[in-house]
Amino acid sequence: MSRKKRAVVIFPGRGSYNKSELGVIQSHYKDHPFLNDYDQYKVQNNNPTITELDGANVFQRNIHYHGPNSAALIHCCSYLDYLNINQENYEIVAITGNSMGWYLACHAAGALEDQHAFEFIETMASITNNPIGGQLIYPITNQDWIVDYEIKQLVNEKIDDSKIFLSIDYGGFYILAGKKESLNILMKKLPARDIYPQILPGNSAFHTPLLQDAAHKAQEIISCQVFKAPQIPLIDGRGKIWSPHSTTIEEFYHYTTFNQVISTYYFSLAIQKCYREFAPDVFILTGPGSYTAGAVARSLIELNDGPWKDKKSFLAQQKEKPIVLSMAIHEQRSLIV
Amino acid sequence: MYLSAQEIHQDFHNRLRKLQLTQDEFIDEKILPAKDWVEILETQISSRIADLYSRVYKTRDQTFYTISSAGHEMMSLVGKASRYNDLCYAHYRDASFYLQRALKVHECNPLFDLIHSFVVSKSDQISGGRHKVLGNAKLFMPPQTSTIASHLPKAVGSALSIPRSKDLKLVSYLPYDSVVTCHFGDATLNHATALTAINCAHWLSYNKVPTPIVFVCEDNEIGISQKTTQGWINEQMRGKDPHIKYFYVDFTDLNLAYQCIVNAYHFSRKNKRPVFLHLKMVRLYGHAGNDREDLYRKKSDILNDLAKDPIIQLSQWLINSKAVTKQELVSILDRIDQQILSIYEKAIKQPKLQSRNEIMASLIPNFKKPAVNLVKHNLNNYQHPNPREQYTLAQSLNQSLHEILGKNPQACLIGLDIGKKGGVYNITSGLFKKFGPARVMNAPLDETTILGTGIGMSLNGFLPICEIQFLAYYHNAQDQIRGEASTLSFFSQGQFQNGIVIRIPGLAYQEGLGGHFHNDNTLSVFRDIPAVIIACPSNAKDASAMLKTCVEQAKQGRICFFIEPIALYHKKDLLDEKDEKWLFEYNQEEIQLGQIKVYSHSKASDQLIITYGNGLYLSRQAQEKLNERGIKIDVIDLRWLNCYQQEKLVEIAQKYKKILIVDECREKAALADELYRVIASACPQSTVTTLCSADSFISLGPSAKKLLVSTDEIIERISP
Ligand SMILES: Cc1ncc(C[n+]2csc(CCOP(=O)(O)OP(=O)(O)O)c2C)c(N)n1
Ligand SMILES: [Mg+2]
Repeated sequence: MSRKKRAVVIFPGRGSYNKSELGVIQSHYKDHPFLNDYDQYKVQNNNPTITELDGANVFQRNIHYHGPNSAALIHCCSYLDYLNINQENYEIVAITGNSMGWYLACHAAGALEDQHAFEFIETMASITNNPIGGQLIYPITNQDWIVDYEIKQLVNEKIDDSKIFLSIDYGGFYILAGKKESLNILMKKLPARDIYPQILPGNSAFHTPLLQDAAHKAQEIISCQVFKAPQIPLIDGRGKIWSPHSTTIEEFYHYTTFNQVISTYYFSLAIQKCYREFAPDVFILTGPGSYTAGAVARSLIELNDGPWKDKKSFLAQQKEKPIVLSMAIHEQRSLIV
Repeated sequence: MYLSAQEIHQDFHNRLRKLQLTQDEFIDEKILPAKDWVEILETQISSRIADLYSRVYKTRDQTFYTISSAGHEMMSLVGKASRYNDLCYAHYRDASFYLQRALKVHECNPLFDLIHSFVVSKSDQISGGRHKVLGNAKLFMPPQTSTIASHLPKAVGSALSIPRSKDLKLVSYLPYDSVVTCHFGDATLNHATALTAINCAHWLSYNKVPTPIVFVCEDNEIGISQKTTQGWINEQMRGKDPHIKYFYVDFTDLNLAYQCIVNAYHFSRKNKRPVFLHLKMVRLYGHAGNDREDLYRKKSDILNDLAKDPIIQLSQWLINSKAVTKQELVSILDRIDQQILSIYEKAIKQPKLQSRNEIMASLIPNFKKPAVNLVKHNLNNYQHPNPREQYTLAQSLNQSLHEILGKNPQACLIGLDIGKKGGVYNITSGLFKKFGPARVMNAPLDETTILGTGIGMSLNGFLPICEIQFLAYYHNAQDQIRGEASTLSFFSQGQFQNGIVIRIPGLAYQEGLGGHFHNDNTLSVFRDIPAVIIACPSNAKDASAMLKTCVEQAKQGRICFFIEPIALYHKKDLLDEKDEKWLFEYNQEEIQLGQIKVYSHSKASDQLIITYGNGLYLSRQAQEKLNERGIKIDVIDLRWLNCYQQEKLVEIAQKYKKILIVDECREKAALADELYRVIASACPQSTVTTLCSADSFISLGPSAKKLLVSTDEIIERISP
């Protein structure tokens, strides 16, 4: 009898449902009870349903990128993916996520019931729907996916000036945030690398003190009561592990609705912590999209103690014995469901 | 009664699964919330499981050192009650403390760390696969290996340095409001090194010098096979209260226990006073994996201890208190067991150190020291003397110390009689007056204290210059350097440093004060420590410069012995009375580390002397006298006794037909052996001989000369 594979599940963040994802929920999960529940929730609140959005003929930026819509699409797709992991083969030993993916991770780990998750995610997306400041993305690795310390240092120096913040440490990329004016200045200061720096349109300065008011609002709207302890260890954006039996709900609530809203989300660190402390056989990245797999790869390469030293060896290893499986990639999905 | 590694592992599982509930004992949430207790239980179980698997892997030769924390898991409470940046010198049974402390710094990977250290993987974050140590720079835990008690003196030094850094307005590594937490076993309290550290803390407290340290004695009533009589620890310590405030915790009541531990740290932090925290523990499964405790302990004693298993106890309390259910307990256990097993399975496949170079790479720290900056201090607190003034060696050292203290606000002197008296040989004259008692410190009469205090302060960013009054008095304290200071970089990959300069007046030829102890003439005790620096100046010009070089090296984390030939301290003349050829100007520069010096009369010479210290003085005399007879010889002063420029030395030596190595030390413990090996093999065309002192202790009075190399002997060898 071969033992179950140890899996860490990763939930993607904002921006993972794009034009190419249109219809993906329909194609896998038509009539799934969870999808129906989600639709019903949306109907109750007079919002477009997941089925409508996902089933639309064309991708409309103003609709599909509208904060609450986009968040719900990502949430719904990823959670359904999560439910579809074949637990005969995989034991889910820890759950994490990137940025908004943290909320999805909370839901998956059982820290939020379905209905509470719908509400919570909608609330958080609505609060920041009118962008407060903005974000840009910039690579800190070279073409081999190895951290370029000179570049990293250079970027870090820019962060120091208190107008520009590190929003997300996103596996080989820094997502920097600040007020629009500051970002425009920064755009000119950062040396051009490939297509970067690139503004992430429509995003707020997530995970920075600029979102202080939003965080306060979140705490007004969302009560601590809706949270429960996770049933599977959760790893947050600082690398802290929230274990099922030792989680203090008040702290967990405060972190989720406040701390992480206003401070850097260290996604790389979360991945590294999962890898080292849970020794998983695989990371399963739920959909939509598979973009985050690259960030996971670069986070692992940075550790410098796995079989991966750079992009080439990582990709070679992926062919042989994959460490990251994306549910949005057909061949990889078939290994999971 | 003997159980295999697998059986012990199974037994632990069984006992937790079939937990018997005893009396109704409840946790008090006002003291610590239930969830925090559960978290503590989790670190305890993790610590135990990691230990148990370590024994299993040992049977497959995949771990190497199975001393465990089993029975000491209540150290998690200490991890909880203290701060992550309270500098911790740990006991080797502190895995649960480590795991608990690491919860305070999320970027740490405590299980990974622990297990990679057990399997000596190269990925071990602290020693890089050089030893199983508990240590982590992010957790303010210098690596601690196995020598009993050796960390206590430096712990006192670190504690002393915390308030002192504040007084001197230095930005130190340790926060001003932190304490030092220093852990050890019960048997260890008998050790001279432990006692001297306790004595020093007592002395400091008695003299009202702020010293925030918590000594944590993990009393399991046994040291390997020898019982510690009940009450002995208390007997030792109670007389020192209130100067060392005594706290006792036996863990029968967990609420009181935690409260008492919290109080102990609070007391030390608030009052900046030493605390002795006496914790009752049990030692489970023998001293280490290979120890058959059934051969020396009564079965009933072993079973008694097993019945006091802290993890069982806490589990019972938590179930009683409904903080967890029995079922949840089992699920915690199984989850952790699988998690740890999986980490081990990956860890054993990780590469270990593979080459000599790799292993040796961290002998010398190659990181910069943790930031130590001065906030307010007059940098120009020093003016160079008139360059035309002529100095003896003693005077130039005194001047050099003025310069060093004037320019480096973190520099301080520690020694005996170095304060107002200015040292036995006036090397430290005037420094106390100029820089005050916070920087020029008379230590209690104990060399271990002097060195331990120094390295402990250094870890916090100070630049200690310690003085050992005479070379012979270094030996009782040598482990502070040999076992502790010099290995710190090696076991931490340079992440921790304790650079220091140790000035040691020594060597023979003293005319006034005689006898062996003031004329000790062997330096082997320094030469057999890897990666230290040994400097030995022979004249005033070199001395001031070399001392400054050592100071710069110490700032980079190096351990520097600075051997001062006492007999040359006050020498003025070389050949004739009043020739003043042994007075020199003050050297304002440094001398490059390792640089040797050639004293040459002409290019025509084909004879060379290689020497140092007093030998240089004697050889220079011989050189002058032979010159008068028309015989030209050249002389090399090594200056740096274990890091001299070897290639350059060989290159120079190859030009000579006859090479004489003059070493004032005892012939069976002389540097001459090494020099002979180096020179003779590199210069096959030359005749290489050595001249050393007799292999004897030095006698008192004029007879001493009979034992020592003399100028006449050198002349005789060169020109028979
Ligand atoms: C200076 C020194 N002498 C001897 C030893 C060998 N030794 C290792 S552990 C130990 C017993 C220590 O007992 P205790 O202090 O009670 O600690 P415990 O192991 O019981 O936790 C001894 C003698 C040593 N490590 N260092
Ligand atoms: Mg003991």
